Parts: sequence; structure tokens; C-alpha cells
Amino acid sequence: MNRSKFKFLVVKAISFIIIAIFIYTATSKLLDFEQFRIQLGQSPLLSSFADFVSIAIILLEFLLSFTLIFHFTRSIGLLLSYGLLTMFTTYIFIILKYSDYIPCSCGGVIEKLSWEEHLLFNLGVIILCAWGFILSKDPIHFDRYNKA
Amino acid sequence: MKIFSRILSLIVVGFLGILTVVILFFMSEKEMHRNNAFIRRYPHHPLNIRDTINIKYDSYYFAGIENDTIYLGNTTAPLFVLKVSLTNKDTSHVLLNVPDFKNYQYVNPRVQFRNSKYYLYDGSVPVIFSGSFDSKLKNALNQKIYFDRLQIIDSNRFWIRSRLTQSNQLELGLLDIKNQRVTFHKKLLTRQIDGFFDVDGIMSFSNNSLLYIYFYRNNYQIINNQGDFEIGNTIDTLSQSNIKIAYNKKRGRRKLANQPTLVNLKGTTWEKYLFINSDRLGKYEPAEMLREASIIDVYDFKEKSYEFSFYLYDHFDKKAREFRVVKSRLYALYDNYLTIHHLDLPD
Repeated sequence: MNRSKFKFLVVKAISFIIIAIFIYTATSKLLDFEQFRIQLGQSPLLSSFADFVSIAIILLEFLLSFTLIFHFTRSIGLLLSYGLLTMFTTYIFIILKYSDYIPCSCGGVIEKLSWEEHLLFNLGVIILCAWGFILSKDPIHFDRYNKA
Repeated sequence: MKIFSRILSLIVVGFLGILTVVILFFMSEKEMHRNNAFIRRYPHHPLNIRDTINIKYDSYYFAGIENDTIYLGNTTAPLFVLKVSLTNKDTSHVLLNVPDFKNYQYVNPRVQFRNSKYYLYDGSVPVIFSGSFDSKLKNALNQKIYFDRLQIIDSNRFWIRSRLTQSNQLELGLLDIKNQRVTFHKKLLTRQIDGFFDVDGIMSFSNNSLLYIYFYRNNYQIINNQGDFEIGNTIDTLSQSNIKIAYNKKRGRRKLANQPTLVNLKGTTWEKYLFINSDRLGKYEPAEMLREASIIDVYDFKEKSYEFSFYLYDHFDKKAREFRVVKSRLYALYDNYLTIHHLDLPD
């Protein structure tokens, strides 16, 4: 197995892990959407934007999963996933440090994690995204790499 | 070169992500706490600390202040009352004598001490035990009249707050235990949204008036013992509470759907004075004061006028949990300490 092929497999594996996480959390949010929106509304940071943000986050998670399936969108998908997770993690960090109380609305079993575990989990996923993005192929030059 | 530009993109995207959330945080902070429409008056040094007494536990609350003695109830030991003498700062305790205390299931039993009598009550049972210390405390409430707040008018009459099951509204009622009757004065609490969450507030009794201070709007009600009322306004300008209610059909529950702006956090009364701990900054007020102190606004509820404001500073990195005022003294509970302050009030 050559180097390029190995890289390709790593990127693919990372993408599928992230797809699994996004689909899982987005679905569990969607299944109890009312509850998710109420939790966001109670959040000290998002109170006034809860209606918009609750829909946007779920759509974004599905959309990003979609981009991660295909070779030619994977690179940008990984970069944007990295961005979204950075936002989630900053949010958790601020809530932990500066807020009087902490509602969680991440969805599914991830809600059962303690906040410190949650932070570590997110950092892990961020590193995966970043790593995947660095290894992934440039969409514009995709064909060239492919021939090589 | 490819790896360099990739890392650069990661740094830029990461930075933008963090920035967005931080901006969001400051926007909501500002919206919640700042109101430039009013200005507070801060006289120089109206409050000076005099004493700090270690009471060893952080579960005490004020049950009453009478005859130079502070009576503190304890949420974890409902029958235990700590007495702090203000003349020599000595502490002693009494254990209330309630023979059939064990016959009931309690949710939140509370003690109040008024006119040399103890009242131990829990509105979810419901029971009201009363009596002086040397006698046994007896249950005076035989009807199933449930309540969640109680204020004593005299040994036979109480103001209570209950959720009425038919309407799901919070109402204030006058409870007369001599006749075992309660009269709900409907429309005493002014409904703005749902009549339950939006009318929530603090009850305090002084000068033969019940004061009801709303959490989520800028007014309070002064209610006499016949159930007539007047409305007073605080210096804040938020007159309409911005509560949103969500009804979760799947779980069959009503919940707060947003984080509504809290106008009044805590309140207490002494004679004609009303003291309100506000969570909001007025014009020209430094933002760090909300972190370092409790802002207390003083009103004269007879005149319905604003007098002045002062800072009740945090101690031991804790906010004052509760405070009371009697004459020129302010008493506050922090953590496991009771503090005594001198307070300058206008005559």
C-alpha cells in the first residue's frame, strides 16, 4: 500500500467517524426537537436566537455529513466541521467558566458526559478534523492526484 | 507549501469560530443586564460592616428578628433554630417541640418566628405548627389548603400563595385558621402572559401590608389585609416581562422557553422601606459591580418613591444569600457566616 493510498484511507476513516457523530447527534436532536429548542432558549448565550440556531445547527450537521461522503467535497467539509466543532467547544468552555448554570443540548448519549469529558471529547474530534483536513486532497487538483 | 496553507486555513477558521461565539456571549450579557434608561443614586458609605459571626453551616435562613435576637432556621434540620444574641453576639439553639412531626411527609418545611411565637409550616403537606417555645407546637391547619409561600399577619391570619388546580394560576389568599377558611383574592397577581411563571415573585410582610415583588417586571404590589392593592414601580423600565412559555406536548410539561430578564432578585421590607436586590445595571454603572456586590435599591413604599441604592459587597467570594433590615442594621447571610452592618436610612 503506497503512501497516497494510506492517506486516502485515513481521511476516509476520519470522515466516516465524523459523519457518524453528526448524524447521530442531529437525529437525536430532531427526535426531541421541542426539548432541544427549549434547552437552547434557556441557554444564557443563545436565548434570543434560539429559534434560528436550533434549526440551523441540525441542518448544518446533516449538510456537513453529506459533504464528507464525497471525495471532492471532503476537504472543505472537514474544514467546516472543524470550524463548527471549534464553535461548540468555545460555547462549552464559556458556559463552564462564566455562566451561573449550564443547560446541555448536544443530543443523545453525548449529553450524559460530564462537562470535562465533553470538552475532552470535542477536542479529540477537533484534532481528528484538523488531521483529516491536512491529509485530504485539494478538491481543485483532485483529478491530478487521482491519476498519480 | 500545501501543508502550510492548510494549517493557515485551520488557524483562521478556528479563530473565526471562537470569535463568533465570544461575540454572541457579550451580546447576550449586555442585553440581560444593562439598561441605560435609569440612573441610580449612590450616597457615600451608607453601609458599614460591624461584625462577622461564624454560624458553621450554610443551610441557615432568616426565621425572624425580635428583641435583639436573630432567629435562624435550617433547611437541613427543620426543627433546629439558631438564636444569635445581638447584645453579646452569643449563639444558642432551640429544638422545636413538635410531637407529631414524624407523622407527615415534608417537601420544604420552614420556620418563622413572630411575636414570640414559632411557626413551622410546609404548604405541600399542608401543615402549620405553631406555639411558643415552652409549649408544644400544634398543627393549626386541618383543611387540605396547599400553598408554596406564607407570610404571617398575626397568629390567626396568614397570606399564602397557591397554585389553583382548575386554572393553573398562582393566586394570593388570606388564610384564617380560626375558621379554617381561605379566601383567594383573584386578580391580586397581575397576569401578563400565563399567570404562573410570569407572576412569580417574592413576598414580604411589613407595616400591615403584604409586599409582592415580581421577579420579571419592574413593579411590586402593596396589599392591605382586606386584599386591596396599589402598584409601585421600581426604577427599572422593564414593565412587560419577556417570558416565553413552551409546552412540550410529548412530555406534557410547561416550561420556560427562554431565559427571561430577571429584574428583581431578592427583596425584604422594614417599616415603610422596601429593599430590592436588582440584577440590572443602570446608566454609568461599572459592569464589574454585578460580580463584586449585590446592588440594593431602597424604596419608600408608603410614598412609592425611590430613595437611594447601595452595594452589599460579596464576602468570602460569595454573594449574600439573604438579607434583612431592622432599624439601622442590615443582617446578611453568606456561606456559613452571618454579617452585621450599619445602614444609614433617612428619617
